[in-house]
Amino acid sequence: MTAGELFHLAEKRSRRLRALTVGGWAFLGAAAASALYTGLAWYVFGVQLDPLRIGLLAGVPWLVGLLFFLALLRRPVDLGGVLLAMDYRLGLEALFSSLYEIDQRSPTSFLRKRLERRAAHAFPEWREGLPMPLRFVLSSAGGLLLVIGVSLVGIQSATYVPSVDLRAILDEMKEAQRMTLEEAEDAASEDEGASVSGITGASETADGGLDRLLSDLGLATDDRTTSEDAQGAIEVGADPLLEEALETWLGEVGERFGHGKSFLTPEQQESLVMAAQSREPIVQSALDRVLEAGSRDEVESALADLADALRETQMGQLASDDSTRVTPAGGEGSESGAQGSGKPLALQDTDTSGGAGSPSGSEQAGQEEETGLRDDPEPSTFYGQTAPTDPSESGLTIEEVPTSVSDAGDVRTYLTLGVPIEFDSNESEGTSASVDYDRIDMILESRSLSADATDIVRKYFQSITEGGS
Amino acid sequence: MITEKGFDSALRAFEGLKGAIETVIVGHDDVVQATLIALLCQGNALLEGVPGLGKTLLVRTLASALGLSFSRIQFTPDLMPADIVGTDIITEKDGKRQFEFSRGPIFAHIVLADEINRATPKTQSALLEAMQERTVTVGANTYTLDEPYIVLATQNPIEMEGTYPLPEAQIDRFLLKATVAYPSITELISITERTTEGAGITLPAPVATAENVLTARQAIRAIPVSAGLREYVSRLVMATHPESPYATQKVREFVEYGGSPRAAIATILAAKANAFLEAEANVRPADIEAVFFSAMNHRIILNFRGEAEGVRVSDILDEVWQSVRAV
Repeated sequence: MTAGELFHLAEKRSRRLRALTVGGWAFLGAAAASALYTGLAWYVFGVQLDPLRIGLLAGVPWLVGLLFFLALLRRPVDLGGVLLAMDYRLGLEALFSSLYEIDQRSPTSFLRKRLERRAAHAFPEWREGLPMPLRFVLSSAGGLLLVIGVSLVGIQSATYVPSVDLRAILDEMKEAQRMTLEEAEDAASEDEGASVSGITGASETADGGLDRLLSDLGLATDDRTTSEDAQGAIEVGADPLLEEALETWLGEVGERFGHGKSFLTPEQQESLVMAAQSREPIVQSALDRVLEAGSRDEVESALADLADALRETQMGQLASDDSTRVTPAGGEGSESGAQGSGKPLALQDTDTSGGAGSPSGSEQAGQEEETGLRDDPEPSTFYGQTAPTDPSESGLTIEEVPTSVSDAGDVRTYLTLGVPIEFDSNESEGTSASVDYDRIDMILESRSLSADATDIVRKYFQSITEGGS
Repeated sequence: MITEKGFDSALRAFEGLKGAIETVIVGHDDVVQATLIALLCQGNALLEGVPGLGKTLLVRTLASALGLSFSRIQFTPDLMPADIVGTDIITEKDGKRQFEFSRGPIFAHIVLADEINRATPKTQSALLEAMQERTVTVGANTYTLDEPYIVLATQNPIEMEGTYPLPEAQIDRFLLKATVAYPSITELISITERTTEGAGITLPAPVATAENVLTARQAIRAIPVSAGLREYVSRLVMATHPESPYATQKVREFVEYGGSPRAAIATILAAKANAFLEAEANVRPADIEAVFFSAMNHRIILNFRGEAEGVRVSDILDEVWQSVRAV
C-alpha cells in the first residue's frame, strides 16, 4: 500500500464513518420525534393509529437517517485532521498527517519519501486508526429502541378495539325518549275525554296508538331489521344515535379485523341492538364483553354469549309475564278467551310486520322462542312448558297481519302475546276484551318506566277497554 | 530547495555541535537545545538565571564550536546605544578628515547581551533593529549584519534593584526564553572536575560552519507540520488571551496580554528546529510540547492581580497546555 492509497482509503472510510455518525444522530432524533408523536397521540390525545401511520412513524427515522447518511457521504472531509486523529490513535507522532501535508505541498521532496518509509510499517493497521465511533453505536442503538417502542405502541394502538360507548348513547336516547314521553302524556291528556266506541272500532286507532306509545318508550320495532339487506347495513328501529354508534363501532371493529362492516351478520347486529336496549345485568355484561373483545374470535364468542343471555332473559321474562296467565296452547290458563273461542290467539311478527307487542323489546330471538320456530334440536320451552316444534301441534295458528285494517273485525288479530288483554270466553267474535291491570303493572314495572309513563300506559288501556279511541 | 544531502550534512553538523558543547557545558540540556533552536530559527534567545551558572560560557562555547565571531556586551545603566551599535568617528585620510563608522560589538555573529535588563530602555532598544531586521542603522547609513546572527541575552531574575525590565515589544523579539537552573549534584561535581583539573576549560574547536547553519535553517523550513498541529498551536496561543473563547480560568483572571502571532510563529518554527535536532523528518506533538513553554513564557504579561498574587506564568501555561488538546 502506498501513501496515496492510504489517503484514499482513509478519506472514504472517514466520510462513511462521519455519515454514519451524523445519520445515526439524525435517526435518533427522528425516532425521538416519532416516539414523542406516538406517545402524545396515543397516550395523551387518545388518537388511534392506523397501520399506515404506524408504518410512517417507524419508517421515517430510517428514512431521515438514510438521507443524512447519503448527504454526508459525498461531502469532503478534512483529511489532514482525520489523519492526525489516526496518528494519535496509532501512536504515530503525526506521521500520517505530516506525510499528507508534505504530499500536498512538496510531493517530490526527499522528506516525503523519508516519511513514507517511516510510516509504511503502520499502513496495514490504518483501519485501527478509524474505528467505528461509539457515538454512532449509541445513537443507533437508542434510535432502534425508540423505533421498536413506536412500533409496539403502534401495534397496540392499531389492534385496540375502541369501545363505542353504546350505553352512553342509550342513556342519551332514553333521555330523548323521556322528553317525547312527556309530550305524549300531554297528548294523551287531551284525548282522555274522547270515548272508546268499542274494541272493534278502537282496534285501528289502538294499533297506531300502541305503536306510538311503544315507540315513545323505545320499544317500537316497526322498522325492524331487514336482514337480507346488502352489506349487512343496520336498519333497526332504534334511536338514530344508537344506530350511528353501532355503525361506528361495527365499522371500526370490522376494519380492525379486516372484514369491513359486513363483519357481523345482520342477526348479530340485531342482537347488539336488543342488548343495547336491555337493562338486564346479564345482557349488559355480555354486551360489555362484546364491546371489549380484542379479536374477531373473541367478538364471535362474546356474541354467542350475548345471544344466550338475551334468550335466557327473554325466556325468564316471558315465564314471569305469563305466570298468572294460561297460554292459548291449552295450558293451565286455557280459560282465556283464546281457548274459549276455539280460535287460538294469532301470532304475528314473523316477518315484515315485526309485531307491535314484543313485550321485552327483544327481537328475533324472542320471536323465535314465541313461535317455536327456532332451529333448536331440543324442544323449545314455551311459556314454561315444553312446546311442540310443529306450530300445528301447539294449537297455534300463524296469520299474516293484514296490510289494511278495517273498522270491524277480531281485535285479537291486532294484538300479540304478552298484551294483557283478556277476551270474553263467551264471545266468539273477539270484539270485546278486558284488561288485566295487575299484569300491566308487572310488565311496566319490569320496564323500569317512570311513574308518568306507567300512568300513560294504564290510561291508554283504560281508554281501550272503556270504549275510548 | 534543500537537498537530501544538504539536509543530512546539516543534521550531522548540528549533532557534532551539540556534542562539542556538551564537552564544555555540564547539564543545561534544555538551555543548550533552546540556544541551538534559536540559532536554527534565525531568532534570539533570552537566558534567565542567576550569575555563575555558565550562561556566558555556553555562548562562548557555541561561538567557538561554530567558528563564528563572538562579542559580549555587559549592560550597565550608563551604557549608551552608541556603545553597542558603534558610532561615526572623525578620521583623517589623505590629508582629509572624514567620518568613518566604527562598528560596535553588535557586529558579530553571536552577541552576548549580558544582564540586558541593567541598561536603560533606550540602550536596550538599540538592539531591536539588529535582533529583528538583522540590520543596524546609524545616522543615514544602514548596515546589514552577517549571518548567521544571533543575540543571546541574559538577565538576573532575583536582583531587580536598578534594573529596567525589558519592554513588551523587545521581549517579544526573543524567540525563546530559557531558564538556566542550578545544576544537580552530579552535574556540579562534574563541573568542578572539569574546571579545576588539568588545563581547565578549553573551548572546542569549530565542528560546524556558518554554511552548515544556513543549510540547516533551510532544512527546518522544509520539515512538514500537519495542518492539525498548526491549528493546535494556534489554539494554544489563543488560549493565552483572556478574551479568547479558548482561555482558561487562570488566563482570564491573571493575564493582561497573551501570546502574539509571533508566539505562534516561534512555537512552530522552534518545533521544527526541535524535530530537526531530534533527527525527525516531521514535527511531532512532542516537539510542540518541548518548545511551547520556552516560546510562550516570556510573552505572557500578567495583570495587576496576577502580579500582586505572585502567580507564576509557568502555572498558567501548564493549565493552558492541559486544557487544549490536539485532537
